[in-house]
Amino acid sequence: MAAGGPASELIMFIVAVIIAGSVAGALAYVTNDIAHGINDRGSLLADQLRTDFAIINDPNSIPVSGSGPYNYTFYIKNIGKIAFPFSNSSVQVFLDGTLVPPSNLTFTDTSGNEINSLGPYEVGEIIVTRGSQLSSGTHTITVVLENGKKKSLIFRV
Amino acid sequence: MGFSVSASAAIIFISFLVAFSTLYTAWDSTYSNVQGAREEWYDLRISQLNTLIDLNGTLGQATIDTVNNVYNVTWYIQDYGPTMYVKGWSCIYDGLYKTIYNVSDDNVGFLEDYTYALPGETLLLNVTNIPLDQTEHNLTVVFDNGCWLRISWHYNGNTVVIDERARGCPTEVS
Repeated sequence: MAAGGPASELIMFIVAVIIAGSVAGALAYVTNDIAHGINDRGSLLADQLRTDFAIINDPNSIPVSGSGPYNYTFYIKNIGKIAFPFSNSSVQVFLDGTLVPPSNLTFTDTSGNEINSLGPYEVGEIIVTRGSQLSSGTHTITVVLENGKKKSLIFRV
Repeated sequence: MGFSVSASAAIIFISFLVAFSTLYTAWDSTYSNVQGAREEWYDLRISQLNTLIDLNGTLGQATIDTVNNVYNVTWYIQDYGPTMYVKGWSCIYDGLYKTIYNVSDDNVGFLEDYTYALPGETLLLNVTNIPLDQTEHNLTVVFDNGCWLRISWHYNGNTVVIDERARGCPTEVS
């Protein structure tokens, strides 16, 4: 019995340290998770604030080429502070509210070379390929970037 | 027993300190990042609000070349607002994108190599080899912040007449 006191003290100490260590470990895990979440959310918000673009076409004169299929060219200018992804897997285009399939979109620079991103001050082209010609009258194109930033242009054909 | 409680309390206390420090570091760096981005966003909006670039006078200068049946126009574009970064400007002529720095490659371009447009400065922009007929032409100059100046004109048989000119800035949609 005489040795029971120190042994139980030791067991109590080890158990207390294990429990405290587990609590500390769980707290560290949760804290790191929250910290990563704060960083990710902040980066997304900062990215959205730094990203901006404009559809700079003359709304009365949209370039069209071809006679079926028809290729409509829209000029996108990066007026933000950072480059943004510029490809058919990262940008969605709506024409009169209808999503244009990515396979019908071509992203190029102004020399016609395919590109994947658009830097500050640069102008890129989105070529929308359609089987039929747009009816005469007003139409709306909406361009949505990867981070949700979007712009619309009302134009006349 | 007392030592066990002290040790575990110390471990938990230290873990709280570490957790607080981790969260504070994450919050601080995120706050700085978002604040920086917010200031850039405000800078762009303020720049758009202050942009005031228009033609200096009703028409710059038109040169009629009846031998080659073309005419040239030099637009006097004046900056009535703050300093603008001209290297970031673009232009759309009759619906098509044109480089604005070299007049020889696509008939639209500045007469000089401008980098900045200072307040009150006038920039000379040439449009050359325009067919000498009465077709209306359109030129949109898009500035570095997305604002634009649009000019429409035609040749009426004697001289060049401006049909319309407009200014604007891109707006947000939701």
